[in-house]
Amino acid sequence: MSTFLSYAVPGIPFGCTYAIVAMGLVLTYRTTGVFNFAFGSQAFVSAFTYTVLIGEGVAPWLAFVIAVVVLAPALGWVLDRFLFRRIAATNTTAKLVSAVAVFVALPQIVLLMFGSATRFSPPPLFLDAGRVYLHLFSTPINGLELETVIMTAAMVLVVSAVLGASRFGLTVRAAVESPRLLELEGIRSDRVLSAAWMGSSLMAGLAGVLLAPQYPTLQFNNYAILLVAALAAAALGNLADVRLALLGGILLGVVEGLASGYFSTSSVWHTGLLPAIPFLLLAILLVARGRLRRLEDTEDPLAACDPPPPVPVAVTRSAELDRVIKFGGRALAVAAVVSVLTWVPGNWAFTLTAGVVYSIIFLSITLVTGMSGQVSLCQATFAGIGAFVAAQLAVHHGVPILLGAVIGALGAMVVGALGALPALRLRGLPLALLTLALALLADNAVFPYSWAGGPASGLNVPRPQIGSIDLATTSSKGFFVLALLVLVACGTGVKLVQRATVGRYLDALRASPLGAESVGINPGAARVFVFALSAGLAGLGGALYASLQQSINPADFNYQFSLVFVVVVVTTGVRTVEGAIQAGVSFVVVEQLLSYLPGRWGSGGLAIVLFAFAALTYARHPEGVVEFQKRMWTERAERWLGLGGPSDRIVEMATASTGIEGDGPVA
Amino acid sequence: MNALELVGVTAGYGPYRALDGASLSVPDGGIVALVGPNGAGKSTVARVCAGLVVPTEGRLLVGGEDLTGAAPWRIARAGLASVIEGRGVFARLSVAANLELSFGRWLGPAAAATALERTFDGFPMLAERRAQPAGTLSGGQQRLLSLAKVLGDSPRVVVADELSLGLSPAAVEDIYLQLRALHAAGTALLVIEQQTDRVLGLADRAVVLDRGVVAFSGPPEGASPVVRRILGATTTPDADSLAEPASPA
Amino acid sequence: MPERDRGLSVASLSVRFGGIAALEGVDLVVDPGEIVGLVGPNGAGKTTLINCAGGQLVQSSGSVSLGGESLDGLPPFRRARRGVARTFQRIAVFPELTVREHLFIAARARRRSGARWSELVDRGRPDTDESDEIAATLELVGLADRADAAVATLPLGACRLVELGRALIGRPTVVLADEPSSGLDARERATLATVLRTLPAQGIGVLLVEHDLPLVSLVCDRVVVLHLGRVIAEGPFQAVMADPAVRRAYLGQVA
Repeated sequence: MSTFLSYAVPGIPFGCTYAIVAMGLVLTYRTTGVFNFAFGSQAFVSAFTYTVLIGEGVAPWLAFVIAVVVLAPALGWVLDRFLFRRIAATNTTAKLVSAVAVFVALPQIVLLMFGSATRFSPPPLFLDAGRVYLHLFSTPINGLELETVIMTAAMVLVVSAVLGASRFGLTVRAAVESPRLLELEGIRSDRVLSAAWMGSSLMAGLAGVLLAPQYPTLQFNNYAILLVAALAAAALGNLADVRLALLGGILLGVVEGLASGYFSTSSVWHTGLLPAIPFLLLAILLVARGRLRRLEDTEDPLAACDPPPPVPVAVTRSAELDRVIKFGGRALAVAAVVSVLTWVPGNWAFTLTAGVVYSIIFLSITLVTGMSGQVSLCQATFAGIGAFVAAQLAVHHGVPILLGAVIGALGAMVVGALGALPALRLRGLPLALLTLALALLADNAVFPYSWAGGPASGLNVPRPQIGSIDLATTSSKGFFVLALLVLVACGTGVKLVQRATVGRYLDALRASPLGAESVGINPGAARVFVFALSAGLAGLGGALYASLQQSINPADFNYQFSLVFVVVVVTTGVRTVEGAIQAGVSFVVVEQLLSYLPGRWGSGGLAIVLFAFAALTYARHPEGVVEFQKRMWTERAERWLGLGGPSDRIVEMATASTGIEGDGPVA
Repeated sequence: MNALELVGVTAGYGPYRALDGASLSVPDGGIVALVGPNGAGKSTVARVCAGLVVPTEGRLLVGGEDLTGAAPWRIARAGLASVIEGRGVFARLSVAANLELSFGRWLGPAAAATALERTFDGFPMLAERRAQPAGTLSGGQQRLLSLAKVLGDSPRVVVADELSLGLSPAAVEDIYLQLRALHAAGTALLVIEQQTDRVLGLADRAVVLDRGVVAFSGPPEGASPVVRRILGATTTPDADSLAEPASPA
Repeated sequence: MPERDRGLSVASLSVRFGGIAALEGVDLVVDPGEIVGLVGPNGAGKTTLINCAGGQLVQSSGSVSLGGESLDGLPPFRRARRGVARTFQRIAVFPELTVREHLFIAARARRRSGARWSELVDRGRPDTDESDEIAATLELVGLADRADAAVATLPLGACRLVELGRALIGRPTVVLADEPSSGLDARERATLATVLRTLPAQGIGVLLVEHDLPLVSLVCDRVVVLHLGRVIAEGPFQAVMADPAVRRAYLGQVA
């Protein structure tokens, strides 16, 4: 019994850290109806600012005021004003992708501003971290642990008080459901939403500063993992019950304490299961809990007042222009390929080869998000599966790398299909969270093993050898040709599926699952099919990536890449094969160009920030930036050439023989 | 003075144009019926009045104040209450919360409570379900709730789109009784309807829209022949019998 | 009750949401070639009944069968393939697709019992049979001239007809129509009535939920009145509307 307690008791303060974030999430969700994905990043920003200020010798109370009371709400205001307010209330994908963009970009912005040197965490606010204040069941409790518990108790009081004030909460929930409908009541939705976001951000900042001393150094990754773990705790209370969230957080901490105590450090349980507990719990709750499945499942009653979605410009532009553009596009592609093969210097040839490989991985997002309308946050994990299978087979069993790549792709496909099975009843935000939990599960409990992700020093992956042609040299342009051929094959395949009957079914399911199922389309089969195919594509791309780089380790495929990938592809244009290729090429080209910048600006963080900023435009143009620009330029070109305009042609198509113009589109 | 006035309004959605220089006005305390076939632009009129669709040309005046291009909340504060087509309720909030949201803004807490009780007296069905999320109500019940939100306080002018859509005959009768009571208390009405006969009986003026243009404006008796003429081309015996009001045989 | 061998049969169906009973022991039969009107006050449980028959909702007790075979436990897409088609009160169309594409998708999805590998790479075009069927359906619902317009660009009335066409293609056994005339103008309602009246000859049964009584009296063979989740009257239109209980509950007039 005393052993049990000596393992369980230290788990309580740690569980309290989960509980604090969990209560913050519940409070935000209850008052605003927004599931604030960026919560972890906002917490990090405040914690970082606080630490920097303390380091500059600012008094702790003043640092606290600046980082939490001033900066955090200001950040919330900016996020609302310039991002979330511009997204239609019903566009779940846009909301999700924008939140993911904020999630990955915020920490990068902070690191760009202050540098990424290791920073040690600040001391607790009030108590002495090292001093033992009391013993609980003969387990010593130090100042840090005591303060965490006290803070949690304080947080419970704050949260209860806020939730008690119902009138404001009512208005906010209405504003989140449909800002325009609330405005019809004479209430300014914009102010209500600003206030809600500022409040949520304040909570995040508070949690961030309170939790900073928990970790020896200040790292964003801790906050990201904390967010998901806290989400599991909050999910216990259906994201609505504060007491259950508190209980869930503490229980999670205690279970982890017990597990780390009882499992010997060398056992597979300790290395494999322990870090996976929160993610497993979240995955199970998402699948099993009915109320979580319907998270954010809402319709805007005023959607009919919006103009209909723009028709892809490729459909509406004039035949003359269409011919010119198609010819020009092909000429450009041929010119690019010839250039790489002839005069382009080695490092740029390598970069563009990487772009081709990324395009293959990005095509997997075209399938999942573009065709089935779901957001998957584990595509880098699938790429990792393909890469590690191919690499391990090549290194340990002498399997040729190209054969290994095919086996890896099939392996990823199987995992994708199996992963899709529990997700059959999920869509939108809950599905995205489930995929994120799976990605973190792989990062923490699978890839770290040397039989999977290889030794920490990295796996050495061979380049393929085809007959007498050796693609081994880094500057080899043969690999470029190989990757290009694979990309053309995959792109053609995706286009075939898009055009085939299955593609039509997916169009229907994306637009209205209710309507699609009522005519006999099996949504589960379609979902499993898309996930499996998409995982296979990502796996194939991952294996090629491994072979291109010639050395890989688990960090190359961690969950953050999944998030960045989705942001990049969705921003560029997720509906078309061309969009994925443009995303792949621009991703590497931007990164390569920025690498010429001095110091930390060239470190790669800036590229992520730039793509996240591009995602801001996505909120306004859900068809993607590239497609939007294409439409604008086509419109201009046709007016200039006197060909009429795409808009006129759309109206003609709709009203051709009836002569009646629509009284508003139907949403 | 006109409670509501549209002057030469042109409006649409993206590339589509739904209204083409339409003008109409509702005098203080008056009742205007707006009828016409589908696609004529009736719903767009309602949306322009509410501020949900901004006209590309023309002006919107509420109580003489030019509110062209103003945000919906400003128009609402000028005294215009809208009942949009379909379900104008917050699905995730309870029935009572939906009503409180409407009443609490304009009336003090005490008056809001009175209005709430009066509404529940008028709609016993809503009282039984006051704690239920509005999204769990049936389609027709949600429609009644969105009407009840407007009937509870007395705005200067009410714009109701597709008033009797999805309502049972008994509910339609009830709503018309309540509209008369609201009108008697001094509120002006712009009622948009598909079922023309009943609304023409209520109104003191009628406007007929056809393809975004005002085809007729005048006394209600004059509207029916115009509507028939517009629908005329395809009128069959079936259509004639169906154009009758939805009253029991 | 005699065992029906072909139509839709609902037996002692009950649905409870939390503590509230939405349906309470409802029995109802729709034979092939018969149009049954389902009317009742707002919130009587009409849409709930249709959702149970279509599989969008699982009943608390009771059963639904088609042609003597139980549909209980089957998801909506399997019921659709067995011959239960439906339209929605709040329309559920695919805005970016054209009218023709709606019909193609429905024709193919309903006809095929399972996914075929060829559907992954075929051209996604209707074959000859399907083309004929699509053309006939377009003609029937009067949308032939707008077949290639994206549905997002059509007015509400046309969208309801698209939904009806989508439900009718592939000759279902029974169509569940949830307020199809809601929001239609007189001209469109005439088209709707014409379409509905052609169905009995093709052996299609219809369960028609409507508040539009002239339409109900025009097309329905039989009317069932639902009130507070129970059937309070059933029979020919005139007789049912003369029933004092119906007048009180539904028409708002005491006879």
